[in-house]
Amino acid sequence: MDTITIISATENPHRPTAAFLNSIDIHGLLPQKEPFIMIDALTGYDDRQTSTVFKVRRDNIFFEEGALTYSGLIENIAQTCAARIGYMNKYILRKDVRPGVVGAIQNLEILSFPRIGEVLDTTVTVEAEISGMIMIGAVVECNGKRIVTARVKMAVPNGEEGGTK
Amino acid sequence: MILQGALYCIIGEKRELSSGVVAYIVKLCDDSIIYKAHFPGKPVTPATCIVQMVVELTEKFCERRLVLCKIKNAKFLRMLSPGGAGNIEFRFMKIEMKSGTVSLECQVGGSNTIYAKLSLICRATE
Repeated sequence: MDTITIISATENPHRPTAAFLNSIDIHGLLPQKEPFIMIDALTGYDDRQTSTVFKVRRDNIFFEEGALTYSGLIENIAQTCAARIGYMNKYILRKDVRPGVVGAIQNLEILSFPRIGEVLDTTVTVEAEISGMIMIGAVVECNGKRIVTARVKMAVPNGEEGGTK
Repeated sequence: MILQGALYCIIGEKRELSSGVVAYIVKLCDDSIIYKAHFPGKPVTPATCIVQMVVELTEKFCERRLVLCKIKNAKFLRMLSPGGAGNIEFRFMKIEMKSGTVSLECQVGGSNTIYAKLSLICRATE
């Protein structure tokens, strides 16, 4: 079920307040459904950056041997990008949420794996945007330390085929 | 979550002895919970899961447990859906083991289609 969030007359969707971001149900921004949701909430949005938080839980499908796996970390970055696209479509362009597709991942480095109960702070920064393709720099932090960095290309497909060459 | 058995099954293996190239033929499980969630009514294999499938198949080849530490480059050229894609071939152009580190290159393809190309570095866990 999608939830309806009412934007107050003073709310500017380009520079949302923390209270407004906090009121958004992340499920309404993502085309993915449970149990394939790897972000809990939006914590920042502006013209260049989007941030999310995510707590490592035992019942996560990418939880193994006390920690989140590399797949959970990659998907956390991909969904932070997808949440940016979802927010933009829903609150700025006033369109339906459409799935963003990962076109490429470059130089993704994993320095450590977050343990159960730890919280990921993930920030994606738009480096370039060309005809439906967004180039993004991503950083995942945990306890103030960088644990993953990557560059990601996301495509928002119009038809049946997506991705990048 | 181990994806072998949950998202795909290995149905064949090819080895080219002269070049040392190995390829695994897999079938995607269209009733997987991952396809029901990604995306409802329009199943697409997540890029994340393509990466994990490549790592799992490398583990099978090396007979060691591995953990991904770096994606040098991964390109996802076409959406890989379970219905209609037929059998998928994971063709390893390179698997190089050096003191607990494995460098590999893999191309994911079907009949006349390339879905993805990946260049990864993994570490043996024990």
